[in-house]
Amino acid sequence: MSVRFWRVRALAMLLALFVGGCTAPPLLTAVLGPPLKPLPVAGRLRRPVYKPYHEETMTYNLVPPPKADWHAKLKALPLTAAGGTDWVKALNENLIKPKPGLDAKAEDEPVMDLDVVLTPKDAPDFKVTYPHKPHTQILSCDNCHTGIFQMQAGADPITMEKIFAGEYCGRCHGPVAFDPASACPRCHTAMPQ
Amino acid sequence: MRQAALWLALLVLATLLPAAQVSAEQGDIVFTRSSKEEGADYPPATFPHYVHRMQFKCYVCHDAIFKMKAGADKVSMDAIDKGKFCGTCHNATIAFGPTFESCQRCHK
Ligand code: HEC
Ligand code: HEC
Ligand code: HEC
Ligand code: HEC
Ligand code: HEC
Ligand code: HEC
Repeated sequence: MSVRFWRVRALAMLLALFVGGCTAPPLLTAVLGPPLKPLPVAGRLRRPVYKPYHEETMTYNLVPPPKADWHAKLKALPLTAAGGTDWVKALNENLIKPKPGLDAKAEDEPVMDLDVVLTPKDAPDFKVTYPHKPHTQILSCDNCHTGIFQMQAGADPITMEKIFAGEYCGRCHGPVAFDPASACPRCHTAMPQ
Repeated sequence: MRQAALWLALLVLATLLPAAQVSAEQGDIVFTRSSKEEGADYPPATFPHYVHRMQFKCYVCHDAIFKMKAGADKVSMDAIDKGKFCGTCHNATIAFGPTFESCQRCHK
């Protein structure tokens, strides 16, 4: 095919595009109805893609969300003899009301009032009373049984060394619950305060 | 009996020491970064147990949302945006969502 043919064809195409470009929108509206408006973004706010060096521009003109002073609420809770928060008392005196689930209809897990007495063989003075009640008020059986403890008194070889190393009671006591180094008599109930 | 004596000595020592370092914020968990590509120099997220245990029983989170072991879950902003981990609640309905005005509440 000749070069001339392509020139004519290109010209014709340009012309068609020009005419089409000028007429198509009204034509399209006639066929499809008015153009769609962008919908408002429904639901929650979205986080734009994180870019470390644009922080000045990201935070401008934004009102911070209302902030509860959780620290002041914590300071209002009772303390133990060792100086930490007494979470057991706070719960039993209804100073905190932790919910049992995200659903408003969620129900509490069963509370079990069973004390397990553990007596170390070589140190009977250091008898331990493990109370199920304060634990099952906030924890479910699966949190401990049988991942951490057997369901049988004396079945686990618990020692203080292991507790301080973060095993058995030390899984929680230390990182989250009261520190074992600070309050021997809370577990060793036969010890003087 | 020898061991008991040893522990008694320890106990005396413990009572002599100033009230053991039980800070009021006991239970704060500082995350270690699991993803490397993005924002390596951004401050790590801190999870305050005390704020949450005032409002929820432990079994709301353990083990349904989080394992009871620091660093056991691979938490990232992507997962949070998709409603996993912290995003189960931090989605602007149960608690504040991850918007640009709230970054510093988790990343101190
Ligand atoms: C969180 C509870 C808890 C606290 C707090 C605690 N203990 Fe223990 N302790 C235990 C348990 C559980 C055992 C093991 C009992 C068993 O099964 O024989 C134990 C065992 C012991 C034993 C027996 C020897 C050994 O190592 O197993 C000694 C001695 C002892 N504790 C001393 C102490 C002293 C001193 C303190 C305070 C610094 C303390 N404990 C605080 C829970 C606790
Ligand atoms: C915070 C941890 C924890 C939770 C939560 C927990 N338990 Fe236990 N349970 C223990 C420990 C510790 C023992 C003693 C195990 C040992 O000595 O090795 C025990 C022992 C038992 C025993 C044996 C008692 C005996 O005298 O032999 C039963 C039964 C039991 N638990 C049932 C339950 C049930 C049911 C629940 C839930 C309602 C529950 N536990 C929740 C820690 C827990
Ligand atoms: C799954 C976590 C967990 C484990 C495991 C655990 N505890 Fe606790 N325990 C708690 C929490 C949470 C509290 C509430 C007090 C606090 O947070 O300081 C508590 C409170 C207690 C109390 C105080 C009860 C009161 O009436 O003041 C005792 C005593 C106790 N635990 C003993 C033990 C012993 C002994 C073991 C090991 C055999 C153990 N706990 C294992 C989480 C745990
Ligand atoms: C709002 C959710 C939430 C609630 C409620 C909660 N936790 Fe946690 N917990 C976490 C998160 C998040 C981690 C860190 C997990 C990770 O790093 O993968 C954690 C970790 C832990 C750890 C491991 C700490 C360590 O240093 O290894 C323990 C123990 C623990 N929680 C106990 C508890 C106890 C006891 C309660 C109830 C008094 C509780 N948690 C309530 C979210 C929660
Ligand atoms: C509800 C608490 C929370 C809020 C709000 C939040 N983050 Fe995060 N963010 C986390 C947690 C948890 C991680 C995972 C642990 C870590 O890497 O520090 C994380 C991780 C990150 C990372 C590491 C890379 C990645 O994507 O995982 C960056 C960057 C980051 N966040 C930026 C932000 C920015 C920017 C904001 C505000 C728009 C924000 N975050 C708001 C909790 C939060
Ligand atoms: C079970 C639901 C739930 C989960 C899961 C959860 N949070 Fe929260 N968190 C809340 C609620 C409710 C509040 C209170 C909201 C407020 O203060 O406005 C809160 C408050 C906070 C605060 C604010 C503390 C302050 O001083 O203002 C921080 C920080 C925080 N969460 C971090 C996290 C991080 C990080 C994670 C994930 C590792 C997480 N949360 C997971 C429910 C949750």
